[in-house]
Amino acid sequence: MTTSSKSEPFMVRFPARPGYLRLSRLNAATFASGLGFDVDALDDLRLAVDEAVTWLLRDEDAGGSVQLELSEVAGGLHLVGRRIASTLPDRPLDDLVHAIFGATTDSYDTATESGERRVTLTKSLDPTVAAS
Amino acid sequence: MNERNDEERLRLLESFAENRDPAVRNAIVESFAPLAQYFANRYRDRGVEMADLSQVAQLGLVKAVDRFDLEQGVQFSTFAGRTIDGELKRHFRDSTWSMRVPRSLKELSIEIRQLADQRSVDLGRPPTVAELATASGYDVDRILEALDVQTAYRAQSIDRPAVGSDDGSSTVASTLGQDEAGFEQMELRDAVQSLLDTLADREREIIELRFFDDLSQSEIAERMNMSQMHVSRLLRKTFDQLRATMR
Repeated sequence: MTTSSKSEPFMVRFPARPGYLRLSRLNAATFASGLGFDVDALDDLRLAVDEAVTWLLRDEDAGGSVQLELSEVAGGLHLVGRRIASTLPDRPLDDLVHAIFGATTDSYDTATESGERRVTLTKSLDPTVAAS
Repeated sequence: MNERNDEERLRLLESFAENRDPAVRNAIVESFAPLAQYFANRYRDRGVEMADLSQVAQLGLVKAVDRFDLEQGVQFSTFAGRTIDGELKRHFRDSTWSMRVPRSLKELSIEIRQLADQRSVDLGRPPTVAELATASGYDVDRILEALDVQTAYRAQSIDRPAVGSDDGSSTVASTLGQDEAGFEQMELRDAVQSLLDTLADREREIIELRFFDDLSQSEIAERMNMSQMHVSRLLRKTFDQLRATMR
């Protein structure tokens, strides 16, 4: 695990097991809190991270690991989640997860290719909070 | 179960095998409801609410009716019992890893959510974690843990394996049908409308305000004259309900 000051990138890697879901939420919320996200935005982020990491963790039998990278982008947070395993089937997101991502993030993307499942999320800091 | 009831049940099962009539399925489910309740009761007092257990057991019973094959020569009650029990065990497996939250943290969560509501009123916007830390005297890490508790109570994601999919090859989500990346908002709304129709008016309005009108929890709270904490709680409860509906 790499720790850093609030504006430096943060990376954590853990076994692809559901027990680490909470760790993912807490890490993302801690990083976002350091950027000044308010409690509403943190709630949204937790929802998004929950769905993102749950999607990464699908096909638990395939093993491997999950890596989360959090970084600050202009006015917000950028998250890249990767599940790395030898074989991972393509798992399209369902309608409700699209809706949750759409509502809780500014942009998102998912992809599966050659042993890697990847999700990226960006979320802006509310300008009224940033200014306070 | 007396002899006559067994005969009636057998006739219902034969009828359902022949025509898959939903009304017949409902009659079978109703007839075997005590069996589902019996299995639900076995898991009482293990940290999951009885109402949830009953619902899970009922869903297991419905699955059993759908999958039962008369030609296998197995008693339906035996088959249903195994299916219901499997459903309950799966529910525990999926939920307990996210539910072990110490009581002190639950209490702190309530305290912090109430404080967040109050500070939202005072500030005219949702507070940051640092502001909550200053106001409460707790450190930032403790507050982040407390805020996470409500999420931790989420039992399942819709991307978890679907009931009966022991190899993980199908998910709850897949029961909605496949989708294309980059849904347009209106298409998305149509896709989930049937799910929204299953909700009570207030819950449906909250979901629509949050996910289709893009209002924040605080804005919804103000519009609906309730606390942000209550909106947060209702959103999570509604998600769980939607997930259960999709099974």
